[in-house]
Amino acid sequence: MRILIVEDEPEMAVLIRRRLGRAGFESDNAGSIDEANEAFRANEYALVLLDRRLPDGDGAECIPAMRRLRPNVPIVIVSALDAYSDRVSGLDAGADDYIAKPFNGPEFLARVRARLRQTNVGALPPIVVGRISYDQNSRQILKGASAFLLHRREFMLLEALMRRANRVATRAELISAVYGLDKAVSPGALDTLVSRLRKTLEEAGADAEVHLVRGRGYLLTEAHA
Amino acid sequence: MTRSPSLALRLALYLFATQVIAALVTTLGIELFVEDDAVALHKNRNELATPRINNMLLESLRVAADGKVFIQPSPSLLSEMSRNPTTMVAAFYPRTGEPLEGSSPVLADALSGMQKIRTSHLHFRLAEKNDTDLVGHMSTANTPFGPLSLASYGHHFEWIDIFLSLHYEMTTYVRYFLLAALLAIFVAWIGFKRGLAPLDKVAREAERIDLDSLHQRLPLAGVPLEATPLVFSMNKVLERLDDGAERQRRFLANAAHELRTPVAILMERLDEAGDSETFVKLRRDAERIRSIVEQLLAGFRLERKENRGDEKCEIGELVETIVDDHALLAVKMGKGIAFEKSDEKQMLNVDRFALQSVLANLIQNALRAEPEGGTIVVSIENGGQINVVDHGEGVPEEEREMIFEPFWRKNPLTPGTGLGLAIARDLIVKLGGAIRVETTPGGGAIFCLALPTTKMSDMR
Repeated sequence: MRILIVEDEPEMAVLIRRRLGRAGFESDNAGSIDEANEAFRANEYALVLLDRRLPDGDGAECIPAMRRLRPNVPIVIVSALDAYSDRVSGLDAGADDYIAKPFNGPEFLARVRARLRQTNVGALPPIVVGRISYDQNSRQILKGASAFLLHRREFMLLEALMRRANRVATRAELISAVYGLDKAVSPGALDTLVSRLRKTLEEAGADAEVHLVRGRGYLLTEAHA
Repeated sequence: MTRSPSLALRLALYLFATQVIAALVTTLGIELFVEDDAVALHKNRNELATPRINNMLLESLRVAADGKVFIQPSPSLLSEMSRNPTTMVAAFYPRTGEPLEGSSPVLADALSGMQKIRTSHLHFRLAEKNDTDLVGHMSTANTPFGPLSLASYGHHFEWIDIFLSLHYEMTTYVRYFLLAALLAIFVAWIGFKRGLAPLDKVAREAERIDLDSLHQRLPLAGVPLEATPLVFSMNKVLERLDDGAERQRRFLANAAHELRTPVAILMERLDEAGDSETFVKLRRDAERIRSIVEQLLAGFRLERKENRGDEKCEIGELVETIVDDHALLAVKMGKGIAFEKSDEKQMLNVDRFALQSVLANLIQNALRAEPEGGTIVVSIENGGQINVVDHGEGVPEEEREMIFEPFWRKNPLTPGTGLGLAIARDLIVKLGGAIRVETTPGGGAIFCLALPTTKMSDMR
């Protein structure tokens, strides 16, 4: 799955490519509007990350041509221009999302993944936390190379946490993922389940920890060294 | 402010003064320079002595026991007559033409021919006298003894006569020129006020112009020619200010780009670097740089109304986002973050990003102050006050105001607080709110933010 990064700052481009690379995405970098249009015509991209300030103009100018060529490819603006008017003009130009620089890494990845999931463009790379990885396509959780065997509810909880790796998954989100929407759930049920999952993760040496963010939910992250 | 002089008033005063001077010059000029007949009665400065001699004559009138009025020269008249022997005075009953006792026989005789006519006043020269410098004057006046015709002849000019004569002329002619002068003043006043009225419109327009409407120009239509340079140069000033504002806009966009790009690169690099203690600390520092940069940019942005991104947001949602953003950092720092709020939804009309940058700053300060293993709490009270609670050392009572001052230091040797609180307060004030610090029960600091809120139930 290939992503086009339109970014004229070479160092920034390299760092974004590496971040996407760690998350399992391939990417190309275009440093100007011209290069971006050329690359977009030549290759099939699953998503475009578009900077606004480019040497040959406003990156948002690329959007109409790209939309005409491939209407389904999501375009996300990643820009240091984040005044209210900049966001409005960016989204008005046809962008699907607007991420302000400097961005929060996990948040950035989550938004990229969310866009890609919506468009169903193909196989998404697995999400990795510590020694466990989650395949979003087959909905399998692996520890190392082999399947990580879990009870059904623990699996559903871990799946929901993996989807939001390094970010807060709210109680509401987790409850709906584990118990469904319409079932009455006792208030302590989720916390009990989390304790069980924590124990399982620790016993399995998964190198992943679930942290409580009181008032919000839980956060799954790599085990602290 | 000192009171500005009114131009209309000034013009009216000038006109009045001009009229007075014109009247003086004219009357004096007629006396001295206008030769109006063959006998050259005027253009003779001795004529100017008439009022003085008349006054002396008036002083010299007496009434006898039988009711007859007679002339008994007063000391001043006597001394005048001894100085100028040509001086003669006479007085008559105007109805009969009968001279009063004590009148100069020569004069009484000469003027007795006037019995058949009544004169209001008369300038004359005695025919048999060849001295062309000598003139005479007769006029009928109301005296304390009834109406009398007073005549004098042969008097001589003295410098004081200029003033006495002017006084006499002015009191005589004031009614003629006063009306003209008042009319002129009135016309000048109205003309000025009406002529300058378009400037009021210009002033009203100018009052409406603020930082957000610098592109406007003042109207030149109807402004009098004399005032156009002022309006014109005010428009030039506006143009320059507008240019400046435009430059500021460009600066802001450039600054946003120039400052955020390196911070973004720094944060990405640190994210790659791993989770060793040093890198976690560096990440925390980078977050602080970020939040200070964001606050500075938001501060610049809020200077202009058009740049404000005010929108209706629910406080809870706004705070949740920023709490979530800091959850991972807190975990990596070995600390916790918790969120508390009431069930009540409270709406806020605010520039979301500006408020979030302040909250980020406060949360990072709290995370830094919080002891390892502790949990900071971000809470929203009923009424919409946002609290950021830590369990660190707290802020001593006597420093609570000062920590919000720019560059405040506890003493000259310690570094500044580095908490970015001056910027935070500046922003909160610009957003119409307030910030203060309190003590956490058991130790630590609570930073409280209050913003004008609307309760959900109040909304339609």
